[in-house]
Amino acid sequence: MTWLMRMILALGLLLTPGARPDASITVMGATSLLSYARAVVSGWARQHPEIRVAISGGGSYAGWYGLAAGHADIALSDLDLGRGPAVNERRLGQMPILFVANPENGVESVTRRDLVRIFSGRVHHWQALGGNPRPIRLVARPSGSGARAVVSQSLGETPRHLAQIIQLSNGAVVRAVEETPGAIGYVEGDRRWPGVVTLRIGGQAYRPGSRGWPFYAFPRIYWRQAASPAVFSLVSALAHSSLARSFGIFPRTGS
Amino acid sequence: MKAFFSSPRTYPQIDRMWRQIVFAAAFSVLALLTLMILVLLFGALSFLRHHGVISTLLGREWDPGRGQLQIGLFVVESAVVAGLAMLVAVPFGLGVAIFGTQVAVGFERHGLRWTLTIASAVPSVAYGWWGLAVVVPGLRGLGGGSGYSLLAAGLVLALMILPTFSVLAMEALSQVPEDWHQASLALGANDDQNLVRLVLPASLPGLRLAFLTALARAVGETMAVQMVIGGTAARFHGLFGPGATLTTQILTDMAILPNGSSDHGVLDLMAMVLFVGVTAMTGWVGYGQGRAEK
Amino acid sequence: MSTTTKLRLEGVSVWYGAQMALRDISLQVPQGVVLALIGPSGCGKSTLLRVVNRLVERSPGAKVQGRVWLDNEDILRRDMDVAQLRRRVGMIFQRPTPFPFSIFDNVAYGPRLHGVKDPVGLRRVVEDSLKQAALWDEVRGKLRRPASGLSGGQQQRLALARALAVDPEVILLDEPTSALDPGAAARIEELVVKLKGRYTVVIVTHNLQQAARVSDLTGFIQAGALIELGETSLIFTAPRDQRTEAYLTGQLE
Repeated sequence: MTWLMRMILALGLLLTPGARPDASITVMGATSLLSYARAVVSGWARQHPEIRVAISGGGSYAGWYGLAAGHADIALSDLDLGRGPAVNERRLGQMPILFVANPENGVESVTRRDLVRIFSGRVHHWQALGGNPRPIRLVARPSGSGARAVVSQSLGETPRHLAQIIQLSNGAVVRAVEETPGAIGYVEGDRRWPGVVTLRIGGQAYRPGSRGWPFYAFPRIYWRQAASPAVFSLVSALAHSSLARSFGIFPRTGS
Repeated sequence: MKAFFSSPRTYPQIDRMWRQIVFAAAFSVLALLTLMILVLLFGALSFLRHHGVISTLLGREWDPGRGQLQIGLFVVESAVVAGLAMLVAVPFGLGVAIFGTQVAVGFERHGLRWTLTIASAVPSVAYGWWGLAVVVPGLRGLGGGSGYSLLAAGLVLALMILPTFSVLAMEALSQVPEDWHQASLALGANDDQNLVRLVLPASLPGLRLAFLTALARAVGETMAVQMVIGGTAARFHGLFGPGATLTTQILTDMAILPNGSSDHGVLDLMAMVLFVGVTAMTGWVGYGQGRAEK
Repeated sequence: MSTTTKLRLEGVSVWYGAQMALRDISLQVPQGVVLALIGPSGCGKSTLLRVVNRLVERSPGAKVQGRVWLDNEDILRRDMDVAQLRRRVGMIFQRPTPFPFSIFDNVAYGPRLHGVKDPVGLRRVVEDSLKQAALWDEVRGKLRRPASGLSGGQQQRLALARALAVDPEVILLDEPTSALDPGAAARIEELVVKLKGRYTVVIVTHNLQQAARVSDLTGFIQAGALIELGETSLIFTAPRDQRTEAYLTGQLE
């Protein structure tokens, strides 16, 4: 039976976490920031070939808890998760949230008040907003998404009796809006999505750096105060990268 | 060397090694499975310690951001979606299997089996795409809603499990030996009677297995369902309205309830409910089988 | 022995594709008689049985020529009700073929096919059939048990009971004892002898002693042709055809 013991022992060793060498950094968190993080890391890793960097998503909360549990060294978030003990925070700037609508709704511009009425279910027909006669259908992100947090902070929570269509990513939201007549949804980042109308708000179309745009998420990164110099170096790269703009992250304009 | 080739020796140490390898494989599978269930069970139970069992399982207030964690709605909608899928897939699949084994011969039969086997290996995301392209728009025209609905999820699942069920049912039906067919015909059965009174009852164990496999696939599927179900977690909106199943809600709310968060246990509980549900179905069907053989 | 002819074959030939399995067979079986068919393996004996209940049509590429009369009714004709024919002509196969049901459901299978639903009637038919097949004493009180639990010999008697339950007129036995041990085979033989008179029986067998013991008439088939047919005692003691004698002595030596 000794071989059995040895096997169990070996199995146990394989499954034991935490046997990570120092020369690796794990970045974890908001999916909306993953592509930016990947771009920065690939440049940074060229200057630090001795360090392996692993990047994984899971959402802002997952990154936060990962950091607390020691699975992650850097957490990405598009939500304000507050300050944990012995955790540093750095804001990366701001990321616009755009409202996208099905082109056949016949509405290309709305006011902030219109959005409040739409997302609270007080108006449920595009006709009431000067559009075509079709019912309004809400496409939303799940709770835990930074975009949803910003939208509900700004417009108020959508009542729970409304049948929202939940989609897990920006791309899925756009796809659902494009396919569904009457649909309206929101996405993070400055990007022109084909197939949908990006709504003007109060007559204003979003321009990078424009003042007065009402919907911004503020992405940030968190790391432990007792982190290695390599982690600090990567944090600094993430905070100051010139790539940020091309991923829709701009310095804060103050709103 | 000579002795090695000439005498038909046995090699007890090699025999023993093989036995140990096989045993170790079986043991580690069992150990991993037990470990997994224990982890789920631990999470689920520690969650239930702080929340009411009845209200958690039967209630339908779900808002993880506010600590409202009742999963009753997802249990019901999981059952509805899987039930719809089975309701469509089982009669169709049985029809396909009957055609494939009792009517079609030669090329038709092999072609059908080949096609179904390929189709059952198609990744579920592909069925999700098909659902987005065909089912959701179709139901939008029919039901007036957005098209993202429990019904859409049920239909996508039905199509997804149809090949699996049909292939297994074909396998079951073709296990009925030619001897039995002939004996039945020799007693004066016509083809329909042969099918209803002999072939179907005789292949019941195999059909049960096909049913269970299809059901387990339907209940456990996540991606294809998530793509078309709409994901509304607040209340029951009817068959044509959006909803969420246990699996899709685990997927959706993994982001807000990640490993390490205080309410993560509710996801363990949801997985546990799925596991217990499928196991109970297996036991129930197995019980029926045991009775039938008495 | 009655002199009415129960079964009559006229110039029956059978092909499987291009291969000829039976060649111009003509014979008559009187009512209530046991006819044994003997001959080398693959000579066409079993095919002959399958012509009589028309199971031969199930084989791909099978073609049948000639006439078969059952009580002066041409059973090979196109509009013959085959299910009805098979009800009148029962068949027992070489290997016991109990269905994967209970003993009761096996025997009740035939009557149910033909529309018997009344539970009391079914029970009586099942009991009578099992008694006739000499199985009743062994299975009484165990009718709900799976038939697969019976021994080989019991299974073959169950098959007989199943065939008898639809009250056939003719019983075809296709080497019914070749898969059984001698004791079980002897019981089947006893049964065949008992069935004589009430049923017309055609039995195909490899076992010459068996043919000699149970049959009134014996036919010798070789290469698809009926070489000789006559009273069993005569065939075994004084065959007219040399080929028959060669077969009998070759086997008996």
